[in-house]
Amino acid sequence: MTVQLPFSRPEVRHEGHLKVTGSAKYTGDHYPPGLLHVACLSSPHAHALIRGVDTSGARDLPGVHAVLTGADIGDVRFGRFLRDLPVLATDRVRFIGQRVAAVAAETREAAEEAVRLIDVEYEDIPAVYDPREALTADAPVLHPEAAGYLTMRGDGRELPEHLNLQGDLVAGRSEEEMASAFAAADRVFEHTFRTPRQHQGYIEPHGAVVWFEGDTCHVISTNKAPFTLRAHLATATGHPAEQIVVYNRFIGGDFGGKGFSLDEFVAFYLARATGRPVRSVMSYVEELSGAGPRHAAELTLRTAVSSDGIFLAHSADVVFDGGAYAAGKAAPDLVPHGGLDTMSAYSIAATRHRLRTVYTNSVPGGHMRAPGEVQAVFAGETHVDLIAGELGLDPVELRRRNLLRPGSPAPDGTGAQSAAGEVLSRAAEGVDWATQPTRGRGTGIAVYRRKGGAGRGGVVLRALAPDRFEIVTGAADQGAGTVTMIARVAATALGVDESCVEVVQQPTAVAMFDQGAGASRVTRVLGEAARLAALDMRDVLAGDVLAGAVPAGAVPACAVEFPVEVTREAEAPRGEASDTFGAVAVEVEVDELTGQITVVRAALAADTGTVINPLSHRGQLEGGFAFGLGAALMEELPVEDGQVLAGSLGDYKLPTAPDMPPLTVINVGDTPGPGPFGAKPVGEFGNLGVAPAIGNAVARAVGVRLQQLPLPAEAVWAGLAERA
Amino acid sequence: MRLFDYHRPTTVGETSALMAELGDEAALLAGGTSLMNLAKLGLAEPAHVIALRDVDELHGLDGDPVQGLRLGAMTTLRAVETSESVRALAPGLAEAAHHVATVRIRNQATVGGNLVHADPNQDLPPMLMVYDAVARITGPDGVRTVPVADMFVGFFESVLEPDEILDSVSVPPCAPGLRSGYLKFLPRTQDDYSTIAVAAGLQVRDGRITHARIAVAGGGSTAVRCRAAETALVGNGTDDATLTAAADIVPGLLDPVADGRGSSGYKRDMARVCTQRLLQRLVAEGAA
Amino acid sequence: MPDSGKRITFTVNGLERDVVTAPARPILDVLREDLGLTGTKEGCSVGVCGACSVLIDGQLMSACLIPVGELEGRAVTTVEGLADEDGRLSAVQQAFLTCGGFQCGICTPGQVVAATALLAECPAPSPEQVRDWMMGNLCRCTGYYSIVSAVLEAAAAGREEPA
Ligand SMILES: Cc1cc2nc3c(=O)[nH]c(=O)nc-3n(C[C@H](O)[C@H](O)[C@H](O)COP(=O)(O)OP(=O)(O)OC[C@H]3O[C@@H](n4cnc5c(N)ncnc54)[C@H](O)[C@@H]3O)c2cc1C
Ligand code: FES
Ligand code: FES
Repeated sequence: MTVQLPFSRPEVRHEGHLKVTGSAKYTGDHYPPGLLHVACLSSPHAHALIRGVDTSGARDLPGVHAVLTGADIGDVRFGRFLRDLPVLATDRVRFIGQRVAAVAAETREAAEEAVRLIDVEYEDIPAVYDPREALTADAPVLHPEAAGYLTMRGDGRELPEHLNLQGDLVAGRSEEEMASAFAAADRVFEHTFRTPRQHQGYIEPHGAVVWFEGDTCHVISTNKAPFTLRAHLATATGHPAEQIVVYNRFIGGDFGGKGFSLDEFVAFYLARATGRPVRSVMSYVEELSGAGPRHAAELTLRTAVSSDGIFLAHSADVVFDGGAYAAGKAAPDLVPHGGLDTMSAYSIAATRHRLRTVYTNSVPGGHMRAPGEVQAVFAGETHVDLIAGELGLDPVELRRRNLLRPGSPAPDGTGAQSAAGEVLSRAAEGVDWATQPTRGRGTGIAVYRRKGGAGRGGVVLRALAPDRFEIVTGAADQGAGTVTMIARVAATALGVDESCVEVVQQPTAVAMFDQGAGASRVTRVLGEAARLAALDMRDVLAGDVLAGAVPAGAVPACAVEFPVEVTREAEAPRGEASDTFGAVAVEVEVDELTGQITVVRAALAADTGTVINPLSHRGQLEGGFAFGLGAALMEELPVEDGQVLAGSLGDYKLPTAPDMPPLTVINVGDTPGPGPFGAKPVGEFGNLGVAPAIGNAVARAVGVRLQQLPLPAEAVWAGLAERA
Repeated sequence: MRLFDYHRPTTVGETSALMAELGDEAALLAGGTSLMNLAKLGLAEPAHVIALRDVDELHGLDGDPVQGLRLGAMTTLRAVETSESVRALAPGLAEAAHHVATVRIRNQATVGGNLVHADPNQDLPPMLMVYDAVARITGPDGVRTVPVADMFVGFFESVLEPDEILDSVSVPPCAPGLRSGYLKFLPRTQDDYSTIAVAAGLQVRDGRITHARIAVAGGGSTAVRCRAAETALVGNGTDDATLTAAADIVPGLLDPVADGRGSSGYKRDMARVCTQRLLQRLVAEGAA
Repeated sequence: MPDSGKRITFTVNGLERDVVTAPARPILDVLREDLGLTGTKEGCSVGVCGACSVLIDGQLMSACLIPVGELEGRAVTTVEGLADEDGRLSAVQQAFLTCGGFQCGICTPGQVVAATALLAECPAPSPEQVRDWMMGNLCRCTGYYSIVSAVLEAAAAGREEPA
């Protein structure tokens, strides 16, 4: 059973007052005295050798304090796992938008002007943009020096068979086993899908404010993982980690993008060169052309099906366009792992996945809300509807026959507590699935399973008085409500009112290690650490006295001396059973003359365990849905010959208030999760099923099946014309 | 962004004198929604900016049924959208203005800036063409008037000389019973520029179309008035066949540019669909 | 060299301010960097996102698209000027708080300012009017549902409050 948490206060967010009054401080809000502004010069060439850089004009400009190039700082590289991205290019540029030089100046305008005065001589060399082409024998190699690249672990890595391969992950059965499974099946279906690069679209661009006090480097940054950032900075620059302090500030949206540091490194060198605080904040032009968008992908799915519609075997071959550097990926095998989840909500005896990421001369790929999985679920859930069509089965019925059930978990034993069937039914009911829609209208559905991420983190809990507690965390709150969550969990476990607990976010120098927000792990890890710390605290404070329920605000004073401090860590192991099942159902109306898709209504059913803060929880799900809607209908970062064609948020459109359909969010099931009090992850969840549900609905409404994202009106229009 | 000097004249005369003195180093500033963006992108780098905010002659919105409307160049799009006079005398213009960007932009952007910026995707020009609006332009040699339908010569290029100021736009009294409207096709988000947009006006007497205007935004390097389609309407009835025939002519009059909002072929066909729908709507409104 | 030091006098949140600066700089930079009013945010820098929303003489505008020279003699209200002197939140701010009209909060100052402008002009908007007006304020976190509820709740609270 999930637990009804006894919250006595309204469910407001602790930091809400700061946010509605404009007093919440974000990275870019820091203008320390003596501040210099940073501007960077980036490459207009997709693949070129740097023959020379002349910075004299820039240096002579009044107000300019430093101009740095790759030659000044040397071949310093960084990356979330593989350190292949130079802070500033030295001898070669590999994508349009790569940084070549950086300036620190008294004003923003002077810094920008200086950048224009820098002269770079480039020599173009052959470039490659298509991942499949990049894997051919005579393709230009982007990183001939890859053998020398180091990882964050300090070692090198085994070189792949083709130097343009970033990562190559194979999981599941052998090819022989798969071949025999496919051979034995009544029917085999194969479809190929394409998904585009997409930008996270946070309203706060990446940025950092960096200064030195003596040998200590202070960093305020939009990075959501302060401890990881410290490690990255120390590794890249050679500056000792103990002499780097990373502060925790509000983060203006993340969606996966804020784990990738970009400005911190340049700012480090400029701060050191000038002895002044420097502020480096990306413009949105830079964001769109160089900040680690979602990987474009091509996915080929094959599924073997019995005559009664049972999935027997499934394989997927996924090729991700990794762009010019692998630095944006955190996983050691350098692939977006979510690519494994093409059909992970189903019980299928034999599966095999091959995921490859390929170097191309375009903007490096990064993480974006459920990396790899958005692509995989779009492909998988479209594939399932295509199969249903071929078999003449109702899409809900075909899914029901194959979903993981308590009795039939996945081959690895996970999914045994599946609520997949229930989320499917509830979402379908939400759009009156059984009712036949009128002409031009159709319903569509998608179901998926999200696994929570692994990670480690800790908190320090201090009792200052019997009714005053303080929790110190090093975690950054990128908007999901971390502070409130920690306070609620601790207060509940302590048995005190939430107003007795204050959460204090502290810099890396003071707080306990935390792996950072990401992979939907924060509530699971930090919430659990807070709960365990609170239980320890109860033992210390009152021993057995507190074993029973304690009325709010009434931890009895006892013979202890305040303050009392306890420290706890928690860890979510890799592969832990933390499944969350979700289903999205939509009803769309398609304008048959224009192809325009209007989502008339939508339902999102989520098996999300215990809800700690309904306000944040609902916000994450609704926001996730909106995120998925944008990805489904309009978001694409178009790239032509390596040039990102969207120059601003005027071109890369994000959904606005009137673009949102009526949405019903349905919390389903009582399967507790691995988080505190049975909580489950919801961060990378609400967005997952939206695109396939809409695509499936369009196909049912007007018979046009699109196998690529996004689903713009024009593509539907073209499909209608073809059909006619 | 490159810094510039900032000037704030109070009369058209003073403004002209400043423009003469500063030459092509200077740009006029109305609401700034285009100019500041161009300056930030380095696409415009004026050394001097002459702000028009204090030039009283350029402000003001007056209207009466006999004289028609006069929109001072500095009239904001929000004022056009909400003005009672505009709603009464040129309701399609209020409708088109409402569809420009968002209220925050409309509070800033001006009629003069919208016309002189000469972006073929903007919403006001085609609607002003439908109303036979005329721009009044002051230059060193005096004042001239140019119909809005003849104002645009190419991408971001109008007939205005660098030393000229647009003072106002007048909308003559409408043909009696003119029905007009604007259809902005927005397949992505509601705050976007159109993929294609159509402005139209119809006057119907005794079941016959006696006067017609059709103009399109997003159909080429300028806003396009579709005279051949208008001709196909005038003298005919308001039956669907007539409206369809006129709409079918529109794509051939356009040369849209492919961009993130659609291919050229798609925009052409959407111009047809939107023209037909808008004409049908205007006919239906008349019947109601 | 263009003008880099002109005196510009205007009112910010009811207080007269005097700055000596390049009149070309966007209002946004001057508010944030020179006056320390960092509640107004910079997102897109091109007039799309609304993070920089301020009221100028009561009208909702984009601080990123107006050179500060234009402010001479005018009055700006930023998010910092919405609560009363005792720090009591405005009805709009209170409603955003209780309806959870934010997640990361970077868009929130702009949302709150835009909603304030709406209710000043139209005290009892319909949900459609709210969505249409708030279209100029992007939020990537919430999906807008809670923002629309907050604005409607603020309108309702405003009606209950005696004038
Ligand atoms: C985010 C955003 C979204 C937009 N969406 C739309 C949309 O959907 N539809 C649409 O139609 N438009 C849209 N626009 C464009 C907007 O309507 C124009 O930028 C605006 O109308 C220009 O007016 P302004 O007063 O701001 O001009 P400014 O930027 O001040 O000036 C524009 C140009 O006109 C010149 N100029 C201005 N006034 C005069 C004058 N009186 N005489 C001579 N020259 C003059 C200036 O020198 C400059 O070259 C959008 C703009 C933005 C920023
Ligand atoms: S920063 Fe001004 S509108 Fe986005
Ligand atoms: S709350 Fe994050 S963008 Fe709106």
